[in-house]
Amino acid sequence: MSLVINSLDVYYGKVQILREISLKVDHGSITALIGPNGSGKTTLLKTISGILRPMKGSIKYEDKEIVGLQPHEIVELGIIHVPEGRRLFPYLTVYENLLLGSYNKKARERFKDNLERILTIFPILKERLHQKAGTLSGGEQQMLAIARALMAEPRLLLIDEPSLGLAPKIIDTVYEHIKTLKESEKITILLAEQNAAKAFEVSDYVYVLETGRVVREGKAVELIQDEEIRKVYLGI
Amino acid sequence: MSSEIIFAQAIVDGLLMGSLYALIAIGLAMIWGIVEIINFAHGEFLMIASFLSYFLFIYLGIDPLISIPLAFLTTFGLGYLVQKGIINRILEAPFLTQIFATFALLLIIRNGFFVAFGPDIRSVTTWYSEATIDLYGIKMSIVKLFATTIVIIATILLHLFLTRTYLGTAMRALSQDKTAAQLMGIDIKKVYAIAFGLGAGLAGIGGALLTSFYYVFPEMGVPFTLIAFISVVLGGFGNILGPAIGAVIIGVLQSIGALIMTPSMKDILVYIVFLAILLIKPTGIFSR
Repeated sequence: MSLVINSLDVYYGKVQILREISLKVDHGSITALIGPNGSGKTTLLKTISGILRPMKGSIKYEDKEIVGLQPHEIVELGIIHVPEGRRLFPYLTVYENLLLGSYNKKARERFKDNLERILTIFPILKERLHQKAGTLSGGEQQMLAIARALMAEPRLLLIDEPSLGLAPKIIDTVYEHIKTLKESEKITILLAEQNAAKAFEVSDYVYVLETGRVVREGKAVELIQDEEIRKVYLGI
Repeated sequence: MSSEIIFAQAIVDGLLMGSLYALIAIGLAMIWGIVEIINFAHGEFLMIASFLSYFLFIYLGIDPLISIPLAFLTTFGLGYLVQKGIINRILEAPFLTQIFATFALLLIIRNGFFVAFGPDIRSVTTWYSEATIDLYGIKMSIVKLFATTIVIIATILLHLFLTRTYLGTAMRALSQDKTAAQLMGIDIKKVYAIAFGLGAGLAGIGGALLTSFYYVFPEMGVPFTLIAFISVVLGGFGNILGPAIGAVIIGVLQSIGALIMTPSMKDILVYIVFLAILLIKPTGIFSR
């Protein structure tokens, strides 16, 4: 197992957001978290990357407890988070955003090679290299957010709502890239996505979150057959 | 002397002094922009550096201009420790707590110096203190010219640091999105401490430069802190050029104010222009 989370409770101030969350992410898989707005998907990803601290519970990555580590220490382990809303540095150039992606020690040494490789995956960014990130279109910004994360040489990639605010055609392109990451780059992916149809399409295993709890889980191919899931999340 | 020459002299004096203000303002802007804290004790770092180079001159005969690197390193180290020991602990605290922390620091340092060295006004006389060069009838103080050169070099180095290095780029990123910066693997508390150290260090260079033509006393930082604040507000946030230009404008306005009014009223012109600019563009001249 790449990631094992055990009975995690997370609070924002006094409000409990996550309740007894337990889940596993298999090596080399795409695991999806689906669920409505406010169900705790983003909070869970933020807790894994160390931005938030859980009240109780454990998060083990490669059998090592990571609760209590600083975000930069978690990055050093190879867990890279593509946050909701991309969170690019809008006044820095595309190049500078990619440079910061490789801030951690290991990735820094291979910046040049990685940059070249990643620009062949995302050729559009090559054309925009010296433009400010804030001037890119929504789709380009999502590509840059993923490319920036790849510069960090992730082993586990946390991607939060990659389809948010994008046109359907662009969403397809983004997901093509996400599939490629798993297949050719051998990166393990944990994905939070409101767009359940897309999540089922790419993922191996799916967790359904509602009000901070895991209410359903299963292999994507099996869970998608479920009547209730089809009705509530896929509208079929 | 013709009136054109007098006016040109005032402009040149203003530019020279303004460049020194710029250095101090850039330091304040770095701390304000990156750490997001208002450093009321900024002028105290300047004062500490000035005392340091004064004592080095008096006791060891080291020229104040030679002691600049040491002044920088000392104030950098102090700034680093202040961030690490105090500010990093109250990052999540209310804004007022942070303000009182740096204000308390101001009181402790300034009054500490009063206790240790008294309110006496000290000064240093070097062979070049009064030396000037003459350019088309305009007299330029050699020491101020030297100070301006140092300021320009320091500003260029800082600019290169901020745009060409990982750490500098991380500082700019941090000022745009703290959470995203953490997700890049940036140890933000460490970067904050270095940024605070650099900001304090720039004030320190300013202090060491002042030693050779200004007075050294515990309250000497007061006008410089005030001018630095006005420069940052005037020039706008987000880059180091805005506050620097704001500071140079203030230097020139002071100088012209002293010429057309009386020297004791030189700041009136500064504040009139400051208020006028705030009315027209409240976010500062060069803000994005």
